[in-house]
Amino acid sequence: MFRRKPLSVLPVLLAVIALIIGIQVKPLQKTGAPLPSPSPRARLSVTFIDVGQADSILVRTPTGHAMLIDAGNREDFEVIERYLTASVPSDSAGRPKLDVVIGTHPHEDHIGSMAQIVASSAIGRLCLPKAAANTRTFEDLLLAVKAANLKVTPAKAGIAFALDADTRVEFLAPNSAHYEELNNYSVVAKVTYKKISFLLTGDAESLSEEEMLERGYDLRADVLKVGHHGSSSSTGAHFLSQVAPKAAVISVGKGNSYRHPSRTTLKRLKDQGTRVYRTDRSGTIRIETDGTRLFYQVEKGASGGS
Amino acid sequence: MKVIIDRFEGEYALVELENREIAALSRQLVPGAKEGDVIEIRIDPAARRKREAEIDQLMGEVFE
Repeated sequence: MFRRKPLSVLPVLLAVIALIIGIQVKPLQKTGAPLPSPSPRARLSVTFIDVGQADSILVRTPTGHAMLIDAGNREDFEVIERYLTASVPSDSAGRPKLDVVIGTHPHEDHIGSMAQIVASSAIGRLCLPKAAANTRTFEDLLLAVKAANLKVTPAKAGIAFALDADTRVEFLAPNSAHYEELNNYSVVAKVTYKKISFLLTGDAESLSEEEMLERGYDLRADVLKVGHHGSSSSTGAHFLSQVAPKAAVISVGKGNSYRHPSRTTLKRLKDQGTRVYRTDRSGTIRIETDGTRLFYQVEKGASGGS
Repeated sequence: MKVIIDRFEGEYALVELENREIAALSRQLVPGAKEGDVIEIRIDPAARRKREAEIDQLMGEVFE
């Protein structure tokens, strides 16, 4: 169904040609049909679910452990649920088993469906930054957590855990206890599988990026989930040069009213020689790794670069 | 009706309605507002009557 192409280390010109060839994956017959389950091979998969102008990322280890980062808008529950049902092991009650669920920050485009996810899944650990929102959406999440008898782990930089023997997760942000804007409370998670790393930044903006740089964290990653839907308030030049990603994913809604992603961010990524995937063009994007190479699958055969 | 500001994006304040749906308001409608602020939206009948009286008077002056 899909051409899987390892990312080769070639001169820029050849890489561009490879990119043009590589993105001609066969579109699925039915638009909006979800990607098939990740391959059973020994690969870590990171699925950037197309939830429009919102975020939802599912990480699945080769040993079947799973972590969900963000849960789209309120109307995205069914599409997220489909991916959970298709690719995450279930408990005896048939509920998807999620070792870890992270809400990067309490904006509706990141926690919109999280109350429903909490109510319908078997969750090992739920992590949220200690940041309050006044919305009913956030209140619903807290009530769902209470009803599920879960306790929330306050997420902050320095927390690290293993999803399985080869998969390590480390939080690089938030680094402060208080921010003016909720976006900067975003949990930034670095997921490392053998030699390959993914940096998943929620809506972290320049202020949080600066803090991560000041702390001297190892920001280098093969894949960057671009902060805040590609807005110009994230992905600063210095930050991006430290991450130096081979590929970047922008989770963004088609024809959104906010002009995301910004031209500045796209240009920075281009100058960095980063291969860009966008959910508004490619639909759901899955990146798999065997620990040394990257493999790409997209739902729609539209341009994956820009 | 009371709405809650969830976030700002570009020129918009995205507000959560009482039914939990999200609607976009122009930022100009909520000057000085911050995330988490509660905005009351209501019809003001007295202000309407006042405007009608003012416009009616002005029309009386300029129509034949």
